[in-house]
Amino acid sequence: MMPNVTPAQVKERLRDLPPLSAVVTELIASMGSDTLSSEDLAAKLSTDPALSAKTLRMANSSFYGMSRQVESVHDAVTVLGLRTVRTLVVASGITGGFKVPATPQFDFHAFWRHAVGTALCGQVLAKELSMDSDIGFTVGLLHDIGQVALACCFPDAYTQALSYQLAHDVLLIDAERKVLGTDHASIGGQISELWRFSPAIVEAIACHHDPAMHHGPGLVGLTHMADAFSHALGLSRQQNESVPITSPEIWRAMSPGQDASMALFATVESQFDGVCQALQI
Amino acid sequence: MVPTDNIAAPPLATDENAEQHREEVRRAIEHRFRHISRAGHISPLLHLILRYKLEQRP
Repeated sequence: MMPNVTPAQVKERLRDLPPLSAVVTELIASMGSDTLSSEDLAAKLSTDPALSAKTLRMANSSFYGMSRQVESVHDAVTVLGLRTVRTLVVASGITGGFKVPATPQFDFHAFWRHAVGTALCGQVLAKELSMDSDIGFTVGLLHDIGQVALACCFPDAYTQALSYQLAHDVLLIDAERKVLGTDHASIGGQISELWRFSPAIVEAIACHHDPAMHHGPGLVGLTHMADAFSHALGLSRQQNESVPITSPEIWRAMSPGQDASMALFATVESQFDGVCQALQI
Repeated sequence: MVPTDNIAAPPLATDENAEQHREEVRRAIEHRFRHISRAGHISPLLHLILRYKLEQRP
């Protein structure tokens, strides 16, 4: 019998997941407003030395091509800018916040490669659409977090879902719904609510596979498009990678056009390896 | 004197390799879009990514 994951089980086990660092959650909440200062950022980071150290390692990585090493968050802000450092901290915290799930068929590295690809697509697409590029990046990084949660909380059941996907060559979300009675977008939305992300981010994660007409050209649509672009570029490097169906309404409202799309692909590909290296993915 | 007349690959072999590589890239991209194709949808993203991968690069 195919295992189903009940809502009660989901609620119980999601609560047992280690939460994101408080610093990361606060910084995500600060995106979209101008209230964060470099002193605030440094003060928040000082409460999490491990995250602070990882952020500085990233800032000093070859990806940022700095002429000198930075030794403090204040230095990093001076050289890279507050918004870039905030995004660095958030990316470091998100990618470092999960242990490898005990689900043998779950490719953890491929997961993060796709997440970084979607983050970069989200960032570039957001700029093209005059949306907040930091939020575009962050939601791109988080959009499939439900997969990690399912792999961590329900390893046996998720293994069956992944096996079903491979055996029948269907989209992952369809395999999840068939085997588990739920899917990673829905679970991702639930975790995002538990972690007190903004309603806009919760909705973007929960609805990125099924944007409804009313979602229109907003964060849900941006995440939906960024996910498709990242899969189209094949950035996870998985053999069975598949591009999900893109909503024609969202495409009409948000596609950047031919030349801008070519530029987006080139920008994302040029940055991808450097960001993965900086995040130690 | 070092013979040089067989150092460079003959042009025909190089063209064939390039064409084979392009065909592999095309197949890989179309494989990623297989679910969309099976559902009978026409994807503008497929055409964009094919153009990017096959026409923009040498």
